[in-house]
Amino acid sequence: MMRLAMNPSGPMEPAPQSPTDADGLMERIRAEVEQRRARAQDAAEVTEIAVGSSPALNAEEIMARVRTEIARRHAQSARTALPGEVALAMATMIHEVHLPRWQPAASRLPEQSQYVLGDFLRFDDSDFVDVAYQALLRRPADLEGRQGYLDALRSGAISKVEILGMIRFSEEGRRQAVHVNGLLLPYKLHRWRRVRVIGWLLGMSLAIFRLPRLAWRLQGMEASAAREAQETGRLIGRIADAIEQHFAEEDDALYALRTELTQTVTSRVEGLRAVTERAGALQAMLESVRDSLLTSDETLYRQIESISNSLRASDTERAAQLKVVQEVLASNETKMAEFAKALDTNAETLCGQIETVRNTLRGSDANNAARHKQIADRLSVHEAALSKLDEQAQSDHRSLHALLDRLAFFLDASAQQAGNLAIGNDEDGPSLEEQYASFEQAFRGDREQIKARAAHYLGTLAAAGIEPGDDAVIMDLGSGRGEWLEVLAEHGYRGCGVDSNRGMLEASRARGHEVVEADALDYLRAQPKGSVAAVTSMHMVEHMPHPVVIRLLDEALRVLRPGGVLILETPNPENLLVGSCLFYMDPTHLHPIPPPLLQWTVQQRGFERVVVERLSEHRGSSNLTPVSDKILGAEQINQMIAWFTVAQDYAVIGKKPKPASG
Amino acid sequence: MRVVVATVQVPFINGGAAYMTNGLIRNLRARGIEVEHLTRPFRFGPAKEVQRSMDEWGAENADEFDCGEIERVICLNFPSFYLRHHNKVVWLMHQHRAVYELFGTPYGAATNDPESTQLKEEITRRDVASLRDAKLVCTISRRVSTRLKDFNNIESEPLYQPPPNSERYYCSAQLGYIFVPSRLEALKRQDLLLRAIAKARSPIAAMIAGDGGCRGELERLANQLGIEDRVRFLGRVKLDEMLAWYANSLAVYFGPHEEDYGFVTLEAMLSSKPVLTCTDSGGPLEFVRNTHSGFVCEPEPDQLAARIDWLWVNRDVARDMGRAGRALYEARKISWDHVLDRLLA
Repeated sequence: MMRLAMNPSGPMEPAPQSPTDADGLMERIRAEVEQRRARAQDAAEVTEIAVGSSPALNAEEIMARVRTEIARRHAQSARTALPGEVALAMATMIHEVHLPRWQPAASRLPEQSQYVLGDFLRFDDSDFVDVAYQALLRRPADLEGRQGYLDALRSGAISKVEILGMIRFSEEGRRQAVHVNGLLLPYKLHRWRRVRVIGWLLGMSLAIFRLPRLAWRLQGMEASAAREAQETGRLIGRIADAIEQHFAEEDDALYALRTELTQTVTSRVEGLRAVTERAGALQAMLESVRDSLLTSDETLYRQIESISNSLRASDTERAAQLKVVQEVLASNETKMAEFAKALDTNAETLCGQIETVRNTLRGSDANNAARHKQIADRLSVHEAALSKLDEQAQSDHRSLHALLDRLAFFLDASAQQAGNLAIGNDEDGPSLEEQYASFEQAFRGDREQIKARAAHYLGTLAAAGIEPGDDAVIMDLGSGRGEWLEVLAEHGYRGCGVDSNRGMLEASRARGHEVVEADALDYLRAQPKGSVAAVTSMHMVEHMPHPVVIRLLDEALRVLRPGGVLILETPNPENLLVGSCLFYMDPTHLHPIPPPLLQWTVQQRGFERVVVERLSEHRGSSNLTPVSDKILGAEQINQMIAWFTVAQDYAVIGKKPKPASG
Repeated sequence: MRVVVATVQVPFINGGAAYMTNGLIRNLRARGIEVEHLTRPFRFGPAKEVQRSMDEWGAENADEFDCGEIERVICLNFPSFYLRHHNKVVWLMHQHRAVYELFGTPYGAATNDPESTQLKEEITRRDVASLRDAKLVCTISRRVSTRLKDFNNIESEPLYQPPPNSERYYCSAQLGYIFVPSRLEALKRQDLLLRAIAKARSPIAAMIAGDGGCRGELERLANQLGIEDRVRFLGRVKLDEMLAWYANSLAVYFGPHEEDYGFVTLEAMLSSKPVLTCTDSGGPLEFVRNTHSGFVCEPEPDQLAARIDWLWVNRDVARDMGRAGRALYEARKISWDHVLDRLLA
């Protein structure tokens, strides 16, 4: 744990080898495997060489090797079995033993220029032959000659004298010319013995002649043999002494060896005992060390556990706190999401329902019919409420029919006029513009009512800081019959109307209002930038295609002074009667504009603080009234009633942004 | 000494069971013991077949062969331990799992089938009788022992065998990757590791060895998590390659679900590497000491990621943990010598 605390490496310390480089890692491991394989192969080859060479050995070699090995091991074990000094002592002792050797009683003949016959006759058998050769020929006997004379001598075929003579009087003997006193005559006699008759006579006389000498010689031989026997006995005695002494020495050596071995073994045993004791002590020490290690290991382990536990605990705590925060955030998010979803759903439902009802009322296709049926089904569930709704619808229908009648009348009239135009001269026939003026009169409402409606915007002007007496103009596009110009004038504002309908313009001029005959867009384009306090337009944009409206808005933004106000009033199609029917009462209307669309467009072209105001004052009242909450499905019924009773007109009001101050 | 090793055989299914049987026989022979492998074919179903196999083994008496005395019989699996012998020891791989821990699961016999229920009762009864007849009951791991205690109330001793080629494992460098060796199967939970890698703040890599049915799925997951540059699927690797992957890793992940034994744990310990495993991994928990030779955490990517990051930062400690694992392995006497000593005792 100490190391943990001291470990200075940061949390993202790079490894010596870039760790995320997985391919690098693969490469490295592959290299290591290759290297190890190569090494293993080398080792295998070495083994193979050793194994492969063995069958070449023949049986003898193997035996020889085994023997050598055994010998080596023996030597080793012998050396190791005995202490060095003892082995050395034994080796010297073995080399020093020399037993006495047999020495014949007669000594060798020294090398002389002349000898007496008797010198030779002392020797017997092979000694005799060897001595004869050495003395007479000055060389050792050759194998062949030696064996030949020995065989002859041992068989008794020839005598020693004869042999001496044969050697002395051979060619080689003559060359050496060693004189042997008393040889020649006996040799000749011995030779003659081989001749018949003479040989026998000679043998007989020689025997008689030599009898006394024979006895003397026998005596000499006996003495010599006795001496040899005694010498032999003495030698055996000496050998026995030597052997006894040798055994005694061997015994001493063995005793010494045994004593020494005993001492060695004893000292070894003692040494071993000491070592054992030391080993025991070491063992005890080791055990105590291991115990203490184990204990410290255990302690360390426990410390690690406790620290990791505490770490885990603090982790858990932090995690818990984090979790609380996350939960709060999550719940907020969920709530917001739910809210957003609810809003979405509401908007969707609303739009869907508007669409459904509009489509149903138009009854244009089968899909709509189905939706109509759906609504009808739902309505049928609430029969009581439905009957009431029916009644109200019927009464609406009645007023609708009245309007339709008037429209039919108007259409008839206009068709008639169109017919007149087609038949009659252009300048004489009543213009469409005149018809519009009369249409306005017929359908828009009477002048006072319109003025009352327009008066609503005085508040708007005041709120925008446009005061009466302001030099800047309030420009009313599509000023029509000039009701708004009249209201402005009455309240001290300087208004200026723009219209393209001559009939309308004349009516305004007749009342003393400043009006210009021009296309609204063209007129705006001609005005200098930032010159107008307010641009108003009532019931005009629904006559224009959308792209024109956009250009109009751009120009209005340009000519307005910073902070200047734009007011656009138009029928509100949120009211189903307006959207589906009343809007189309004016044949010059193009299409109804839903409030959010106009609001968005104005905002999008650069106006700020753009608001929608739904206008229902001074526009009559519906006889559709909300049902009581107590009625089953009152909420839905009232929602539907609202579709018919919501404000018939609305205005979008926006301001030209002021440049950011300071 | 004459020893009979008894097992059932399912032709061409050679997994851990074959490794264990062969290892046991080889090591017995190395001790100069005469070994005969006694085996009979086995079918996991239908119930009638299981019943027949049980009866056949039960009818067999290893005291009565004509070869002279067999000193010992070592039985390794169901129902070979029904074999009768005066000196029988059992070293159990597992029981007939279909009627024990897998009973009533999609992998085992159905609980509502009267035939299976009857078989279950009979197997339980005869298991108890024949195991009580043994001189010694050992199992391959503590988990198997625990089940034997829970289901049959029989005490047994876990006897661990070393992984194959255990003498060849070594430790080399410490590179920035986690080694993940195992078959690619849902129960081995490599997906958990991938999710942890994605959550880890350290730029650690994962090297996944092995093959299996889940490979495609795991590769897709790696891509989906955006960690494909830090993960490699090595497929089946040769032994020396596997040793090298072990030897150079930072740590080894082995977090299977309820493993009986699992050589991976031991191989990681032999390579002196810390082991990352989970609280529900079974076998590894018998060997890994939490915070000492590795980490045992909940099977949650966040927890696993935190431990991986910790090892990444504290490399010295990671190395010490690996060494502690190796020491634990050595202290556990996991060797064939020990196995034989126990089975022949």
